[in-house]
Amino acid sequence: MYFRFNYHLLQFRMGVRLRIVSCVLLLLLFHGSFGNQQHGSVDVEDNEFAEFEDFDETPEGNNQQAEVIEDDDDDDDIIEDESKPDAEENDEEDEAVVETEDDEFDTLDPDEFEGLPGDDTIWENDKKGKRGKKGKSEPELQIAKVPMHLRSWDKYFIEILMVAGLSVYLINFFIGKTKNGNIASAWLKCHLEFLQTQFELVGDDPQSKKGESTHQLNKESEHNYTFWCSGRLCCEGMLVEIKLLKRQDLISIISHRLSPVNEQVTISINLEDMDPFVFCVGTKKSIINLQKNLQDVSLYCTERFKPADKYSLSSDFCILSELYGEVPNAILDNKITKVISENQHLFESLMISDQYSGPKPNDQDEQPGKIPETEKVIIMTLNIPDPSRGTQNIAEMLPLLKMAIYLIDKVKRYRLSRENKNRADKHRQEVMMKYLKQTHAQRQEAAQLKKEEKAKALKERMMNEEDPEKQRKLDEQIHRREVSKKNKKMMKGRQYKVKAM
Amino acid sequence: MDDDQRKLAEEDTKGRPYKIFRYKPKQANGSEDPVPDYMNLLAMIFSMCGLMLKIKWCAWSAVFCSLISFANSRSSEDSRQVLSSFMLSVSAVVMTYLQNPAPMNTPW
Repeated sequence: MYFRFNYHLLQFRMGVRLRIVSCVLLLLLFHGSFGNQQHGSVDVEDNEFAEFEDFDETPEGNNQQAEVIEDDDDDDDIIEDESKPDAEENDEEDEAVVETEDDEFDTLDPDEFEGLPGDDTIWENDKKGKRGKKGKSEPELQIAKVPMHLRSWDKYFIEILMVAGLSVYLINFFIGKTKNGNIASAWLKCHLEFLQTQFELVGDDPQSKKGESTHQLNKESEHNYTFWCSGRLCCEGMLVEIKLLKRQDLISIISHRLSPVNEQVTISINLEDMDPFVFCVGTKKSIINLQKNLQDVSLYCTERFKPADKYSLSSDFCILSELYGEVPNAILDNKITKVISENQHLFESLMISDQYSGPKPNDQDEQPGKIPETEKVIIMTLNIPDPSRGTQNIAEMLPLLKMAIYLIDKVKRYRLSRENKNRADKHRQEVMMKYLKQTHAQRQEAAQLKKEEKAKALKERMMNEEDPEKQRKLDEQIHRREVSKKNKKMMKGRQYKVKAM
Repeated sequence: MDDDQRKLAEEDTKGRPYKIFRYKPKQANGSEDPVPDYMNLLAMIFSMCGLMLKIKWCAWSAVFCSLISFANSRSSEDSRQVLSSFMLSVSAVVMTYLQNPAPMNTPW
């Protein structure tokens, strides 16, 4: 305005023509500036929008804000807010509405929230408070209530129990695994030297292409180990299966405690040649199991088992043979009976069979009448001495393994008498006929089923045929077939009657 | 025994009076231990219950079942299958506790 004033003064001096105009302008400008100074007190009454202009000119507003910062108590603010409308003359209702909006705006001032939870400016405000007003009370902090289950671990005791159970199971798994591994390797350590003298291939890895001795056990699972030997006269190979307790499984350990089970080593030898006979010797329990579970023993050893007292063996042992008399006498010679009676706590069972086909087939098997593949085998089951007394005891098993090797040569050389061989051959023929009969009956059944299915399909075709002439032809065909079938049956019946006459 | 194996055995035993036969692992029969298979199945069912129905004890039982299955598993079996069932059961536990971190209710 001052600039304009000077400017017009210069114009006034410079030009006469513009004098009148500039005077008018000056008057107008003076009037404007005077009006601006006065309008706060005078124009409010006339101009409804005067209050909005107050926001642009801040002296009054600044004062209000300063008051708010200084006063912490909300009540004072409310009093202030309430006093405002009195101070300012508000005649109309619209003005009152504008005032309340103003109040709302004031309450949203962030400085009013100081001291409340969630306010980040609390530290700054504290500092201000210390500087400015030391006498005023400090804001109290309110700590949010945390749920009980988040504060204490005691509530999670089932979860803690579960985790503890898992960790115990895992620890037991590693301990049991190493224990089983130690027992298996102790067996191998005791027997490896002897096996190397008897076999060319000692320990075989089925995954390697080269057939070289690995001298190591194959781990089938954490409690089952196998060892394969091959390359010896009279036999194809020898498989040693070490079946240990499931020490790696805590639940199995508990169940074994309740019902004790022996750890066993099964030595299976595949023979190249032997005379036809099936013979078993062992504890009564094991013999019953063999007869119950094995196909060849149940088929060929139809007679009841007998005690082994006669053969200078303990009364705990029994004999089950296809041919009593000759075979047990020949097999159970002095050497064998001596080894068995010396290690009777380790000896479980011995089976020699030329018709071994594994366990009995289940009922669910598809072809029960199928003739099974047979092998000539010697299967010996031994108990592992209690490993809790130390793994050194496993060396006690060596004489029994030597006995198994001795039996290979003995069975290979052994020849049945002619009479017994004929009996055994007859037995085998009978079993074969049984199988064939079964298979024949099955084949007949299958053929019958096929025929019935064919007839059904033809009938369905006839029913589905849309052309009536074709349908009639098919119907005739079916009828003819049925008549011919009936005739055939009648003829057969007549033939029988003639034969009977 | 296969013919190939016989040939291989005969080649190996040149100059020796015996044949070497390679080890042929037995095929899995029904007579073998069924525990790992059953436990694997149970673990799968329990972890599904844990994941879908958010039952905490189911998720924990799934972890135990998968561990038992792992401990009893055969070496010839695919270890990935056992591992995946274990991971599924662990994820069932994690998911149930992520959704509701409250402790498990005691049955007594």
